[in-house]
Amino acid sequence: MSREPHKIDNDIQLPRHVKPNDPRLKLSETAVDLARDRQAALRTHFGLKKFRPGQAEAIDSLQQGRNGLAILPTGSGKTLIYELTTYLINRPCLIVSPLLSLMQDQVGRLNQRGERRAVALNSLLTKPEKDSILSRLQQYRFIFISPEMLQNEGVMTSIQHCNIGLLVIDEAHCISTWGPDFRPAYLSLGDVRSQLGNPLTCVLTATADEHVQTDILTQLRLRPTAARKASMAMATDDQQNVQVIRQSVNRPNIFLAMRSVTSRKEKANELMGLMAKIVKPGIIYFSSKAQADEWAQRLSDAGYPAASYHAGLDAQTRYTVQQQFMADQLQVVCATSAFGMGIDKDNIRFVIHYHLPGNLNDYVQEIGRAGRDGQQSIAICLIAPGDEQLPADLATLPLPNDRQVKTFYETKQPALQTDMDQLLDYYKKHHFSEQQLIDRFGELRQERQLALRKFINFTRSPDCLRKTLLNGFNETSVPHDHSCCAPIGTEFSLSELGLAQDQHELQKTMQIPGWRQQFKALFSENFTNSNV
Amino acid sequence: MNPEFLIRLLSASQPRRPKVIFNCLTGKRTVSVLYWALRYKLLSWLNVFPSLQWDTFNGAVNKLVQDKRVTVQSDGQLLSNEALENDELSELFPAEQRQVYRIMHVKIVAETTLLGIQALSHTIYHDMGYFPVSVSERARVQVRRWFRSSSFDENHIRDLTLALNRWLATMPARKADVFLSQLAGEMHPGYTVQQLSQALNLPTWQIDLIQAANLAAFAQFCQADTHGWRNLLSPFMDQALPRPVKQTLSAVQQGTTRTAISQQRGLRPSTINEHLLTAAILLPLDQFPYEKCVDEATRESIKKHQPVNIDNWQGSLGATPDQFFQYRMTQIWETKQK
Ligand SMILES: [Zn+2]
Repeated sequence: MSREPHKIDNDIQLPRHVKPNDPRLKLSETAVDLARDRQAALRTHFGLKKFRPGQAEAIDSLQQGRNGLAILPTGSGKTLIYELTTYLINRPCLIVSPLLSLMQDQVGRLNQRGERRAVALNSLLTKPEKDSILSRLQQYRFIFISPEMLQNEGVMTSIQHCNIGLLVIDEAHCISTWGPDFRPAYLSLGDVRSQLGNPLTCVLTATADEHVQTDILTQLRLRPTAARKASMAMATDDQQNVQVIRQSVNRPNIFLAMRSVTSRKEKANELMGLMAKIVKPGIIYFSSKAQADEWAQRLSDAGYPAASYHAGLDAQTRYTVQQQFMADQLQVVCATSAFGMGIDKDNIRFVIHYHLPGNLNDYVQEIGRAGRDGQQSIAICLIAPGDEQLPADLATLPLPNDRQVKTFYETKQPALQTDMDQLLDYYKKHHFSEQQLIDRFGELRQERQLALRKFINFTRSPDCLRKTLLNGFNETSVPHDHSCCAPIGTEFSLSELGLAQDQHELQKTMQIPGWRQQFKALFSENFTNSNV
Repeated sequence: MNPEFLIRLLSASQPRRPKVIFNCLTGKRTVSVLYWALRYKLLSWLNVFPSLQWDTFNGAVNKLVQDKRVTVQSDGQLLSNEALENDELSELFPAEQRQVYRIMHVKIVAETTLLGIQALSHTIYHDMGYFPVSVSERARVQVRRWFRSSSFDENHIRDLTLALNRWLATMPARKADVFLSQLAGEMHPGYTVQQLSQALNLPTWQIDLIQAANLAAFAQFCQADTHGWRNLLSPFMDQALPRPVKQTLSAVQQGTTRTAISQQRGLRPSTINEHLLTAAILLPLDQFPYEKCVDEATRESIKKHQPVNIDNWQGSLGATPDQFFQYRMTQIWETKQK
C-alpha cells in the first residue's frame, strides 16, 4: 500500500503543523489502528474494557495530532484522557493544574495504579525538594505543575529539557479573565506553550460557556472554533487544529427529584425519613462545614455510618474518610458543595442537596457523582421556603465588593496575600480603572444572580426536569418516562426505582477493633504473631 | 487548640504570660521563653505543637476569658479560676514522652511514620498500586530511602512486624488501639479522631494528646530498635542540645573560662551566656556544672536579697550582663532545687 506524504489513509488528513516524519505518526496508520491502540492501552495500563463517554473521542483527536478542548464534567474520567495519550505517544506529559490538593490527589491516583513516575511541582515543596526533583525531572512521565511555578526560569529550563510530548491545561476556565476562578498566572500559558515548541495540547475544563471557551482558546493561541452543541458534539477544524469535545449533561440513570417542605424542621425530618429507606451509599450536600459536621454526627447517632468531608478537615482525616467511603465502611458522606472530592466511587446511589447549589452547572457537577457504574441512582433536592437566599449570598461572596476595590486601589503597595489581592493586582497592572473594575464585578454579580434565578426556576418547574435541564445547556431533550424525574409537588417511589432498602442494620457507633485485630488487618495474618 | 487543654496549662496561683505558653508549645527556644516555661513547669511541652497558630491559640484564650474560667490581669498575664489537676494530662501524655518533642522534627516524623507503615502494609500484601497518604515530598524520599536500606524480604518484614508487635504489647491497650487507628494500609483505612472520640467516649482533644504521645513513643521505639525501624526516623531526630550549645558546655566542663571560649570561637560573650543558660534550663540539675558559672557564695548573696517566690525576684537595673547571667543562673538553680 503506497501513500502520499501528507495523507496517511483515506480517513486521516494530516493537520498542517504535523510533519510527515513526526514519530507519533508511526503509531497508527488508520482510524481502526488508532482505536485498537487506545483500546489495548486501556486494558494494559488501566485494566478497563470500556471508555466513558467523551474519552475515546478526545484521545482519538490527540492521537491524530489535533489539540483538544474537552468540556467534560468532573469525575467523567478526564484524567484518563491525558494519561492514556501519554502512554501512546511515549513522551512526558506536563499537566498545569491550579489546585494544590488536586495535584497531590492526581499523583496519588497514578501511584495507586502503579505509575510511580509522577510528581507535583508546586509551592508546597521546600527548596531542596524542588532542586532534587528538577535534577531528575527527565525520569518522570507525569509532571504536575502550578501555573505560578512555570514562571520560574529555572523550572522552565528544566522542563524544556524534558521533551514534553503532551501539554495539559487542567481547570482551563481559570484562564478566563472574567471568570470567578481566574488565575493571572494562567495568562502566561500561551507563552509557555510556544517556549515548549507548541506541543500537542489538551485543554480540560468542566465548565465553559461560549464566552469562557473563546477566552481559553485565544489565550492559548489556538484560534477558536464554533462548537456545535449536541448530545456529543464535535467541532473539527483542521485549519485551526483544535477539536472541541463536549459531553451531554444528560445522565439517564439518575432520576431527578425535587421535594418541597414547608419548614426547616420538616426538611430535617424528610432527610431522616429518606435515610431510613434509601439504598446507600450516597452523598448529601450542605452549604456550610458546620452543617455538614452536624448532620454527619446526627446520622451516625441514628445508626447510619456517616462522616463529613470538607476543606476544613486536615489532610489525614480527609484521607481516612475517603478510604472508609471507598471500602464501604461509611455509607453517607456529608459534604460541602465548595469542596471537590478526590474520590472516584462508582456505586454512589444517591446525591441529596440539603441546601441548593448556586447554578445549574454546579448542580450537574454534583449530582454527576451518582451512578458512575450506570446503575439506577437518584438526585434529590430538598427545598424549604426561603432556601434561595443562601446560595444568593454565597454566590456573590467571593467577588470583591466596591469598597474592597477602592481600598486596594488606594493602597500604595498592597500586600498580595489573598487570591482576591492577586486578581485585583492583575487588573490594576493592566490599567483598568477603579470604576471599570467596580462595574465589571457588579456585572458579574448580576450574572450570578441570573444563574441562580435560572436554577431556582428549574427546581420549581412543573415540567419534565430533564427537559428543562437539557434546555438550559442548549441540548435537545429526551422523552420523559417513569424513570426520568419527579418535579416539585409530584411523588416518586424509591421502591419502583429499585432504590428502597427496607431493613437496616443500624450501628450505634462505629466499632473500633482492638489493636491486635487492626494489626492483623494492616500486616496480614502471616506477619501477626499471636504468641507475643 | 481546645480550651479544655489550654486551661490545664494555666495555674490558679501563678500568673502566666500567654505568649510564653504559645512560644513554648511551638518550640521557640529563646532563653527567656525557656526560662519562663521552666518557671511555669511547662518546659516538658516545648515544641509539642509546632504548627499551632497564634490566632487559634488566642481564640482558645478568649473563649476561656469569655466563659470567666480565666482572668486576664492588667499586665496581660493569665490566671485560671479553676484548679484543674495536671495529673490527667500526665496520664494521657506522660512528661517523658512530651520531652521527646524537643529533639523531634514533628511534622516530618508524623508524615514518615504514616507513609512508612502504609508502604510496609502494602508490601506485605504485594500491592504496589495504592493511594498513598498525602505527605510532603521529603517524607516520600525518606520512605523510599528506608525501603532501600534493607532487603525487605520476608525475614526482614517478619523482624519488623514482630518488633512492632512486641512494642505495642508493652503499651496501655487503649493507647495501642488509638495508635493503630491512625494508621492506614491494606485492608485498613484507619479511623478519624471523631470516630475514635465516640467509640472510646473521650473528647477529641484527649484523643489528640494520646496521638501526640503515641508519636513520641513510636519515635523512641524506633530510635531504640535494632531490627530496622531506626532507619525510618533517625534523620529527623536531633541531639538533646544544639551543637553550638553543646560545644560551649563541654568547654566549660573542661575548665575553659567563658571569656576564653568567646575569644576562641569568635562569639559574643552574650551568645556564650545564652548557650549556658539554655543548657542549664534543658538539662537535669546534676548534668550541668553550675559551680563553674556561679559559685555558691555569689548564689547565696543573690538569694539573700530576694523574696521567697522566685517569680518575684527583681534584677537590679544597673546590672552588667555578667551579673544578670549569674542572677538568672541562680534562679534556674533555685528552681531545680525544688
Ligand atoms: Zn422527566
